[in-house]
Amino acid sequence: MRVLMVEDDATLANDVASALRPRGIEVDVAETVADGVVKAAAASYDVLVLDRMLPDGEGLDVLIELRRLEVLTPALALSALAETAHKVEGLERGVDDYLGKPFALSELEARLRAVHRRANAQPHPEVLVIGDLEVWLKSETAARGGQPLRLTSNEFKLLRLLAEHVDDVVTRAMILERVLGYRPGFDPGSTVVDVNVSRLRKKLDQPFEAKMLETLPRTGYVLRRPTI
Amino acid sequence: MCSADPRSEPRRSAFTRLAVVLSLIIGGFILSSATALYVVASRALEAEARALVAQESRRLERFKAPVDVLDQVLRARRAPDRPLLYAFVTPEGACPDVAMARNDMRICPVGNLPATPELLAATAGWIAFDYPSGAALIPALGRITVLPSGERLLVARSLAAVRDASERLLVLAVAGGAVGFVLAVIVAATASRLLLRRLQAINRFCDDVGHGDQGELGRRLPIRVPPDEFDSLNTHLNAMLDRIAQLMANARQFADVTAHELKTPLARLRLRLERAQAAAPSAEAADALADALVEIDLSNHLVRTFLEISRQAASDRRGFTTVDLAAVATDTAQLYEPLVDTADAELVVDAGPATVIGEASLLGQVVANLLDNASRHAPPGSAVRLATGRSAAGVFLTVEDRGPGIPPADRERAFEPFVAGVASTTGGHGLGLAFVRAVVDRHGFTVRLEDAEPGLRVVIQAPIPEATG
Repeated sequence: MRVLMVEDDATLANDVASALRPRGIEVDVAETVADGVVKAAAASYDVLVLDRMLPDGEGLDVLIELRRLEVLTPALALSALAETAHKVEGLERGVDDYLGKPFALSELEARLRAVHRRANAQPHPEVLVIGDLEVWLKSETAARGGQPLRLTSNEFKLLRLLAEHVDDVVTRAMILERVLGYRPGFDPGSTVVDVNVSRLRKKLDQPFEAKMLETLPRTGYVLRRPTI
Repeated sequence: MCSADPRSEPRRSAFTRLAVVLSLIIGGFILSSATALYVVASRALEAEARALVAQESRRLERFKAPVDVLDQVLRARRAPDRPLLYAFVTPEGACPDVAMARNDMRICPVGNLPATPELLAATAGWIAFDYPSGAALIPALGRITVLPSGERLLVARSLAAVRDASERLLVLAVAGGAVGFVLAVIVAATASRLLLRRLQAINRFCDDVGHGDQGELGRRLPIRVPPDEFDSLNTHLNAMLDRIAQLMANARQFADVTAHELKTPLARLRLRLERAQAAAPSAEAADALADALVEIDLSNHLVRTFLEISRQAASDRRGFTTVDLAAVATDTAQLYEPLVDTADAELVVDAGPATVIGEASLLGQVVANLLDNASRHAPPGSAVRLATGRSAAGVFLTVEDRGPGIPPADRERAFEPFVAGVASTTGGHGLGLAFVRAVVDRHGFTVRLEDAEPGLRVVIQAPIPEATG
């Protein structure tokens, strides 16, 4: 995956670049809005990472400029301005996700992959099939090994999120944002996510031999495609 | 600065009171002026009567002989321009001998006044009395002269004219007072309505700005040329609004700069620590670095919550929409039900219809904060209750647990940041209720803590939205 990071803090940008390279994400850096627009338009990146308070202006303007040039690269805002109001503003101005500084590398990585995956996802699949698990999106039902899983609406939303990002990390923050449907910025602590995931795990994994839902300590969860 | 709630219309009006007082003063002034006129006029008429009587008495006194007096009285009675009253009698009230001697019974009694008992009882000098005329008694003022031969002569003037004039003046005074009062009421009421209309316009404006529904903080009151007292008031209010808007903008800018300056190095630090952790030479070192990361995340969370709280205070109600509070509560409850369950408690939701004007995500965070607190304090086997609905007082949302509660003395302080209350002792970061208060204040709602006997009940009260109320 190729990422363009528009970030005036060179130290931070280089640290991110060197930390993500071993994980298969190539990061180029632009330090200004103008530079960002030129680079993003010239090469095809998978995802843009936009800082907001840049020396020559607002990082979100990169996106406006690119959309004018019909460059539709998905974008993730990465900013110190991380209150609910900022995030709402960012999403309204077209970024696909919003992450506040400071951030965990794993969180950034998970979100980059999620943004990339969403941008390339099949528009409206009816069913997600992962091994013996079927997730029916329209009817909001799921079955494993032919047996229907009795899920609450929250549990279904959670399973759907995990299934859409199969084999990728879904962080606690992502779960809160996507499952509860609240705008990002909602941060009630992680326990509430953990108990909800463990509820789902009881129904999804407990009765079955092969366990699909894996916990990554301090990071989040992964739904693994069973190896045959 | 201004009434924040349009329903807090004053029950008493200063203008109405002023109008009533002014009307009373004006009415009273007219009444008392007319009364004074009445007193002065009746005294003048009385003085005139007294002067006439005195003059006639003195003239008649010069005739010492009863027969001369009799002649004078009889002559005076015939003169049409002498509208005086006379009585000439013996001390017993009978017809004097000189009259009897005339052998003309038509002249008895002498004069045109009957010999009343007051007249006979009085000695020489002034006398006020009533005499019968037809069925009525008419007041009169007179002077009695006692002749050397013992006969009494009374010269008097009827005060009927005085009385009539006085009565007319009195009627005039009362009527004038009443008309004046009514006129004053009309004028004062009109004036106060005009003043009230301008004041109400200012109050409405203040309400709008206070609610800040559509970024009303940018609005200003009109100033007319030439300015009157209200325009002067508007000028002052506008200046105050300028200042408030400036302060709020400063607060927002300060928060943004703080966030940027504080979080950028924090982000760099966190990244370095993560890389160090990945390359840690030993498990101990990795653990220590992991702890450091947790600390950074914790302080970041505190900074963010703090900034979020200060932003609430520095923001108006732009972007607020109609929010189904019952749905927000139900959604959040679904997420927290497993958490309450792990505390061996039960989450009971009673989501009655409740619509408010606000921001759903913020209200969701409020409900989450309250449920988070409640789940921490709920004893095993107890119930955590979440309810929404509508009462006469407005829309409400309550969260109730059966935990230790908060003593009455600490309830108000519990909303202050970092107060060592219930939250901080059991793992909350001490900003939960401060955040709740900040969001509630921005929405124009109220929040209070109550004794759930036992336990804590948090009550949030919101006005019923105008469109649906």
